[in-house]
Amino acid sequence: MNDLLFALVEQEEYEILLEEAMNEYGQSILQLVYSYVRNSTVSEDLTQEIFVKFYNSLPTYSKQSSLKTWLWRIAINHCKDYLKSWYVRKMQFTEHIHTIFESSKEMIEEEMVKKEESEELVQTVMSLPLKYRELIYLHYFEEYTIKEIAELLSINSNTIKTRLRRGKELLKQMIEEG
Amino acid sequence: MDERLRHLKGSMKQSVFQNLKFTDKHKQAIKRQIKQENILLPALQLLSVEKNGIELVQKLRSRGIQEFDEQEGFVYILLHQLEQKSYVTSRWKEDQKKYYQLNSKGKKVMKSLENGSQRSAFVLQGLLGGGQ
Repeated sequence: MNDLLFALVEQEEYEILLEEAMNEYGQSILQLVYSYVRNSTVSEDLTQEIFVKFYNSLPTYSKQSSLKTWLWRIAINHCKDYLKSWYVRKMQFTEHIHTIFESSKEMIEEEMVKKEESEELVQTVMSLPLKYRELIYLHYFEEYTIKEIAELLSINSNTIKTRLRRGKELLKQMIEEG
Repeated sequence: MDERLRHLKGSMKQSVFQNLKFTDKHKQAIKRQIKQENILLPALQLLSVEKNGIELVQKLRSRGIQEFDEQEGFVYILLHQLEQKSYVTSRWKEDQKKYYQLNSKGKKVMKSLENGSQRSAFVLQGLLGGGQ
């Protein structure tokens, strides 16, 4: 009886944790997933699957990492599994990246230039190969430190530094070549 | 490059992420999915041994699943759908009751649910009347 009661209390806690995680991180996870799969419909589906997986994984959560790190790891692995799946390798689902910046007639020339540069940057980042794109995203968008990224991806810090540098070189090259 | 990348966050928010919104609709779908799996997996596990509807409801109840308590007829909808998807096979016995048992396809689904494979779980979406 005690066991059953304990199990019920735990389940209630898991539900609260799920609710909090969805409120706190739902939007960030959706964006993170998009940075991997580059398709909004797929991003929504995968995000749902990730939170279900997160919920199911709570009994095995060891508290060695923060709950956020735990969730991010699940999300990243889930995206990579998806990208590796037969289904995706056979078909390309990448949608055309729409960069919908608001433009108006009142925009002064300086602003127009800025807008174009922003568009170009986003387009180019999103077209980088995965191993560079994920680092650029985690470091510059999510503002994770090299050390944190190393923990998240289980990759050596030096490898990350090298890859990040290489990624930026590639980005520069792609932008210059237009 | 570093200087330009400093603006990446703002630029992405104004472009690719502008129409990407995590809403209540997503939250509801996640909760529904979890609820469905919470019933589906135990039901499949219990049907490894042949059972009729009443027996299944009783066994589910002893596992703390009370969804069928108020409306026991609901279990027959579930069983019917499992049969439609050919996860279970059924037969009438002498006691005039229909008995259901998991078949090989059902066992595969059960295994993938046990392994937490959400992709196959999503295939099951809608089985319990929810889904999108």
